[in-house]
Amino acid sequence: MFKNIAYKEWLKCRYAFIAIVITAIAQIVYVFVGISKSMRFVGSEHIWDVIVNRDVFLLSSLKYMPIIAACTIGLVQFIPEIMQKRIKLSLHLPLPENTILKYMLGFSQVLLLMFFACHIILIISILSFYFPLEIVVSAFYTLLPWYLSAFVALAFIPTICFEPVLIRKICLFILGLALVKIFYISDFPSAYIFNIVNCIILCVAVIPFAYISIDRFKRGVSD
Amino acid sequence: MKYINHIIILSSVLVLACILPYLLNLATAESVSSSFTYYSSVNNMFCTNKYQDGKYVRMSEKGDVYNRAESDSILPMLNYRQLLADSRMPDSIQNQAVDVKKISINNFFFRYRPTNKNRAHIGLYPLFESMSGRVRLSMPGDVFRINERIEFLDPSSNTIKEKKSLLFTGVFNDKGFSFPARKIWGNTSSRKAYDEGYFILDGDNKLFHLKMVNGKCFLRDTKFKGEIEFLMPQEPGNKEFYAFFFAKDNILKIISTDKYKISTIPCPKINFEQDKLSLMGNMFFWNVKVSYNNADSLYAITSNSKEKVSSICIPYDIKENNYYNYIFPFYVYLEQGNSKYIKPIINFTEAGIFAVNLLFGLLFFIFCKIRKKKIYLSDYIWIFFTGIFGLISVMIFKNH
Repeated sequence: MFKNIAYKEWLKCRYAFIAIVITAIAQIVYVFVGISKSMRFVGSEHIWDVIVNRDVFLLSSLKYMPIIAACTIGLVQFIPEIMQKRIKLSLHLPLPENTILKYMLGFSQVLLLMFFACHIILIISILSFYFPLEIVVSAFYTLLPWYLSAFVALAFIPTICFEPVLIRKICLFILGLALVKIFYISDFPSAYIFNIVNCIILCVAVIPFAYISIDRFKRGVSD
Repeated sequence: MKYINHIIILSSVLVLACILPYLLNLATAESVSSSFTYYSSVNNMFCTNKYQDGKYVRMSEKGDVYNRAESDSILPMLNYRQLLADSRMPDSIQNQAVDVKKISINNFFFRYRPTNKNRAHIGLYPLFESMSGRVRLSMPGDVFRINERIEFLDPSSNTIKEKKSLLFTGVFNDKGFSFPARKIWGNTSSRKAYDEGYFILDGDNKLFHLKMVNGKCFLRDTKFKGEIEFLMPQEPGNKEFYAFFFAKDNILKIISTDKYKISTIPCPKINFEQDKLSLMGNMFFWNVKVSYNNADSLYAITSNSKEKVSSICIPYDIKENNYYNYIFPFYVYLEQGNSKYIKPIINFTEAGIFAVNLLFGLLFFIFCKIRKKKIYLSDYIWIFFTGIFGLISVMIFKNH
């Protein structure tokens, strides 16, 4: 049954996912062509100097790509479910309701995780061509919180979508926004290096929030 | 399912503990007028410039008030350019002949912020040519790192310069350097009068001094062995010292150019994790200032013998916002002023806040009675321990 549910979710997400992959690759190409041009014009030594001594982060244009990707996948996956309350059809499948939701949430989380893994491996591979290990590691720790924020956003989308009460929906939106904002407080390179474990705990802790919303939806809660 | 709802309430409490104090501070914070204090080489006392009752006042410790021109004359080490322009520059101060060149060579400014130390550093350093013969320093064309050996990297090809790396590593081994380096400190900017290289703490906590002189490795054991928390290299015009440093004992020390002699600098009590330090030196006195949250404390020390001659403490004109402590049981900070790192810190207020939390509990009870809601113990436990944050979270996110 997991394969059937996964295929159903893939049918909803495929075009959005392909668009995200194409955009992400185009963005990476654009960023590194720009870096290459800067190195030809001002010299590699100057670029290394501004990165090491002036704390300039050359990949800051990638900042919002993960969260936009997560929001896009989340919305194309869950908006159809709440239109005319089509989620009721999914919940009537011969499986426990929590299992159905687990498969649906798990699909998008795993899809995003695989995409981000490939994305970051590509970035690190190209960076290693231009820069030494120290700069690559610093870039990784600077990018990582932005990737982790995407998982928090992705967990909140079904939580907000399935919540039946408007006031609580709005409050969940504000809570989600505030929790995502935690990952964007500072752009300083490696600022989150001592906070990565807390960020991962937050990403994992928010995943089950959608269960509350779906439970309230099933019970027909109105206040 | 109720455990998941408790996680929602917990995350809401933590978010509110971060946001509400911030919003309240945004709405009510008042600016703190800062003052500038400098030790006068003319009348041997501190002179302070500050805003007082809406006016900018220049006054001495004794309370003598000066106008701008008088203040320039009282602080000649600071305002020598203005005095020169006005043809009011004295020929001698403190029974010593002075001229612009002598003053400018001996003047220096050093500033330490906790964020200098509490930030991520990328372990790549440019090693400038110290005896290039040119007025301006030029970028060396490579950077070094020290792991199991010293390696020089060529940025144009992102490869290791093996010949130079082997040459320098050989010198390191000959001088008894224990790889890998624990810490490396230096001024990586080319905008300085001259270059004195880097100070490196090796694997055995021995402090070495590294420079490149005529393309060759200059490495000296300073004979200092011990823990160093942070070292701040300087390039003063008079070339009398290399660097300031401190260890966990929070005592400020200086490394002089006289065979790396280390001496203590008299300094107001400082916690290098929290407080700011600035040092304005001239040919007669050094002004050592420590800035706390609520005051500045200054010492004046003689520039040659480093003995304290005077001290002063200037409190800030801050209106305490004590009502924070009666509303919020704790605050959560993610950004701290003393660090570039993002780390969550929870500050708890006074224990008496539980009485206020009981009041919030009573408010919630009245709210439930009016709305004819059932009363649950878990809601009251949240409100008792988290106060207004719990009250708001429970009212929005309760799910019984």
